[in-house]
Amino acid sequence: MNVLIVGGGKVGYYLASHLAHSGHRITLIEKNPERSRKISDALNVLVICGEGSDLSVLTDAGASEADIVAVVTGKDEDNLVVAQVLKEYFDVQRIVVRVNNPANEPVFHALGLDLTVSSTGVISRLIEEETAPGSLHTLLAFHKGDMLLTDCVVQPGSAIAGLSVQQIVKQLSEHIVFVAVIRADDVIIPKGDTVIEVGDKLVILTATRTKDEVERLVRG
Amino acid sequence: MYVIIVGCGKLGARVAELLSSEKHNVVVIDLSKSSFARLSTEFNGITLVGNGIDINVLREAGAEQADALVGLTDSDNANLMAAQVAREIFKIPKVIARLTLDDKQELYERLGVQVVSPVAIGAMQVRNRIVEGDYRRYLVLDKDGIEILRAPILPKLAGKRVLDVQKWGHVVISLVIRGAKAFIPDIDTVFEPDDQVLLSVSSKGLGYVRRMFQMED
Repeated sequence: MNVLIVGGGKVGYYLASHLAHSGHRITLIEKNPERSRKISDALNVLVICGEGSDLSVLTDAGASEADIVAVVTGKDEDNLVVAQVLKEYFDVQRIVVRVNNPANEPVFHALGLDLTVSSTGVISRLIEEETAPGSLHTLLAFHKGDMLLTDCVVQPGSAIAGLSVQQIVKQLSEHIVFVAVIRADDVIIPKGDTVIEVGDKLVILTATRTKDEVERLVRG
Repeated sequence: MYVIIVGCGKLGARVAELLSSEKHNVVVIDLSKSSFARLSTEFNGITLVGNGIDINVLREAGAEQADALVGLTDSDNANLMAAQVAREIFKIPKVIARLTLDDKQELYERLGVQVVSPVAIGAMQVRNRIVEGDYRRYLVLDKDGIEILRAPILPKLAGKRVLDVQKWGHVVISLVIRGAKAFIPDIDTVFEPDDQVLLSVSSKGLGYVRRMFQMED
């Protein structure tokens, strides 16, 4: 695959290094000339020195031929604008955007960038999992953040433990989709009569406005 | 009006002072507290230390009730992001972002953000003064090619009346600057040497103005 990486900091560097070893064709854009030279010396990737939000730089880097673009600079404002330029001017199939400040994640979703990755967000979710069991965590957002793919662990005392998928859906004001139930080492694709147990890890597709309602049922 | 200004550099501070002196409610946001030293003691708005692209900082600045937000930091991308957060999340009706050069103007417009490019405006002014002599282009209206120009009255025009010089519908003399004074002339006003005038000129009147005021092309 042709992969374009914007930003040659730690994330961009290791991403380029890792993907190049897996045989992908990598182009990396980095604005600092010294940093560009270092990456170019160290890795077998094409490095373009320039501003990633610049139309001509993206054109030179072959953005229109990229199968996927990863926008991973350390600045959210730069990541946002690079992704928007890509969306407006190039026919890129997939854009993955790094979000540094987790508070900006819903903003990116609202501005139409659905595929965001926030390492701070991932780590804080892991910690929240310990401190607030039963929370719904967003795995992916769709359609400007209106629809979420989430996961959660059914807690002891949860109102849905012992109920079938069909019975659970009836308790909600809006339909949700159970995508998977992970029970011990098994992954179950649930049907209407699948009964949910305490300790199940659920992957649920839900409208954003219904998220809190689902969370209340999952918690003890 | 309630206006949020993101970035308290030279431009941000000046805009904040202007609006504040006109009794608007102004909140200025900047990452560093020391930037607020640029504001004069007369500034009576609110200053807020924080990142103006952060939704929580903007909320604290009163974005929910703001009438306008202006992004004036030295980062084009930060300005564009702040403006979009203002528009899409807080539904602020008027958002303007500073763009250093006018190269990304089209992108801003596609995203529904108004642009101001101080460098492009300054460069055009310098260029006009060099290429077009004393004839200064003040304003080119977006619609129908109307221009507002400032030009000196040449010796050959001194003693003539406004009526003799202007061309109704195409060239109108709207202001005469004489020494330290300026006034709106009537049709019988007689020009004196060293007068300067402000002209509203249509695209059809431009050739006439060039001849009459001996402007270079």
